[in-house]
Amino acid sequence: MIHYSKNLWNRDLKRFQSGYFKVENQRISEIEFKSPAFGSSTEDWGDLYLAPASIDLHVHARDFEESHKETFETVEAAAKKGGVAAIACLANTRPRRDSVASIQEFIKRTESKKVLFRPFAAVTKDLAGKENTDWQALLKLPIAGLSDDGKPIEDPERMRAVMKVLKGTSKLLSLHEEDLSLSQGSCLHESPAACRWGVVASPPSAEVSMVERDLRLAKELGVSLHFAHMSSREGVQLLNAARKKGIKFSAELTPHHALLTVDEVLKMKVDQLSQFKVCPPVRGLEDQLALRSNFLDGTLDCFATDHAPHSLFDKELPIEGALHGFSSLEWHWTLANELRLQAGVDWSVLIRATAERPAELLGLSNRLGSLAKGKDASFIVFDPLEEVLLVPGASKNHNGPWAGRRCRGKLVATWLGGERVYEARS
Amino acid sequence: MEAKLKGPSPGLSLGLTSVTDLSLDQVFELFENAQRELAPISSNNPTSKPVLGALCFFENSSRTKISFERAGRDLGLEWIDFQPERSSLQKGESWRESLQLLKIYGAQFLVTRHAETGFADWARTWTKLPVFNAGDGAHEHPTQALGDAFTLWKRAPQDKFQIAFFGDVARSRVARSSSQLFQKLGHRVQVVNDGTLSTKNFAEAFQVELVDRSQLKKIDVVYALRTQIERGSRSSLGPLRFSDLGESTLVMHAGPVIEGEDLEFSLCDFSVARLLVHEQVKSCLDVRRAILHRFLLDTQGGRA
Repeated sequence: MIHYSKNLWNRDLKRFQSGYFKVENQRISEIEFKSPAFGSSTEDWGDLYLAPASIDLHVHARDFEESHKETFETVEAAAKKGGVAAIACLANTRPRRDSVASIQEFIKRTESKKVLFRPFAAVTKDLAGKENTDWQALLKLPIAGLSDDGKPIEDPERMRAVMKVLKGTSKLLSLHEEDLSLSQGSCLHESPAACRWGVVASPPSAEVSMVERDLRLAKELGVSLHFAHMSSREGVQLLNAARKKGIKFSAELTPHHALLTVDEVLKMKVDQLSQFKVCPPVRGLEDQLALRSNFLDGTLDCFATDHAPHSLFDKELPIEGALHGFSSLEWHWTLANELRLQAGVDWSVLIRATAERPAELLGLSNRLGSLAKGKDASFIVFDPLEEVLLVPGASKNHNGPWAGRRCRGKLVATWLGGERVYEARS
Repeated sequence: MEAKLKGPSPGLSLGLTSVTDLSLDQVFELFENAQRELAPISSNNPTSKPVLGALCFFENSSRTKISFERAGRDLGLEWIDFQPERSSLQKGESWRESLQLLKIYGAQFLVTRHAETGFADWARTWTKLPVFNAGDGAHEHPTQALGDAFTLWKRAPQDKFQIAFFGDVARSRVARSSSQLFQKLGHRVQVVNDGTLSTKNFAEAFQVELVDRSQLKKIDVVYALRTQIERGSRSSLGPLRFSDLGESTLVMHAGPVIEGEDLEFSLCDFSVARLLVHEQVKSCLDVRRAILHRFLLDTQGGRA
């Protein structure tokens, strides 16, 4: 089968061009930036855009004892609707992914899925920060890497130890940077808007101090780190300075930190606040602008949703008792495109952050991340300017600020391995 | 008496969770009625039972609870006194379910106090009952605010006062509710600058001025806040001192006053006219009676 479009992503020239690619055995067997010989097996996408499917490095897939929040089936449906070919799933499931057996169970449950699932294994047992998991054994499994995401690694000695073990491997150490002594019990970013509601607020310093510590340790040990969900101006400035000094790392920008500010809570009613509770919190305008400019220059090189579905029961509570997290995977691509338009992001930067870079980090570049000969025919078809209403439908639960908003960028279809797995209703 | 009641009112049929829900007309109607001797409501249906409310105080309180209880009894209400510390909450029962059970036991409305912002609104959602907010975390305490504003209105209904809050405003539901209501009524609200980011944030959030402690002498009313010892806070200002005040400065405090912490000992003579603490207690009782009276009229279709 041949897919032709006037706007096919050319990764070498870094622009959209008229072209086609041929799919054989789920892979791209030929890609040319000219018109094909049209035949009966040619799909002519016309003016619609074709780009590589995304890879999301930050997904809380739930299932197991939390299948009331999300199941592997519903999270896969959300990924397909979001234009996502592979997801890296965090270890804070119930029970935790903190042993070889628990990782093997995860792999067994997800290996036959069309969307590629890559689990993170926990750094400490039960993510409790007390006892290390069996890092050596876990690193032999096909995992994305190690992470206690949801919680920081508080003990610096433990951090050094895990860095040493990871050195020389291709696995990620994904870090949730938060000094809990500064943010315990917090609901919102420390700001006048949070003060309006009288809730405990988290200062940027809770993130900054941990980023600073870990950059220092990484430099000492010559290890590359992965910084999850960066939220603060000062935190990202530290990363920027480190990058200029040649320290290697990767780092995520989430759609909520990139597109929202804490001032949204000023327009809310008190019982809407729990839907805005996320960790780290959505911060102020100056933080948002700094995150955007550091996305443009590649300091934040991965776009990741931090998809964290919760049941209504967990969110229909006062903000202080509600759980953190937003459901967002099914709008992965639309939110990335909205960021592109709002922040003036080049297509090449966006596609690098949604597809190429995360594919490299997961060791999947031979299959995903770009459209080239020999790679999986995993791609998205979209109209980059059509306005869409974000209507929940794929994930099992829809908590957070996105449902009901309007964004630009209609994902028309997602194809994985040469097969159409999602098609938008016209 | 019914004819004298100011109206028409949008009503309190859903209860009251925030001062922002009240129109100026409603506030003045409540003040007018708070001045009156309000008689028990007699229902149109002579066989009907008294209305049953539930007092749900998840945080310690004696004054507000006694005040609501007394105001309700004056109007012929009956109360369920739900005591969380003695209930199954200790055994892991959720508040959500506790409140839903109260409805099954016949509660027709709730009065709630809880340590979390928005609890009263959620209680209304969970139970579909009218809810009166008697304090939700550091967020709101609307009946206290009405009592405070009524205290000043009784002294001079037409006057606009200059009022400064003194203490840890950021952790105070009294400061949040009362400052909003005072502003709505045209008073000029200020906050004493203690040099903290949280006080600065408060001033910006509620668009009130920061004022230096040295300026208090020129201010009509200083509203001293309770030191939130249970929330781990001590104001960096220390207690309000006699020497901070001008000759005619009034002092308000929502009680209970922590003597020596909130006000220096020499200011704690509650018989002195300028210290309005006991007047506020009386005002709050009168206002709560007026609120429950309005609520009964709105929901029971009874006659005053």
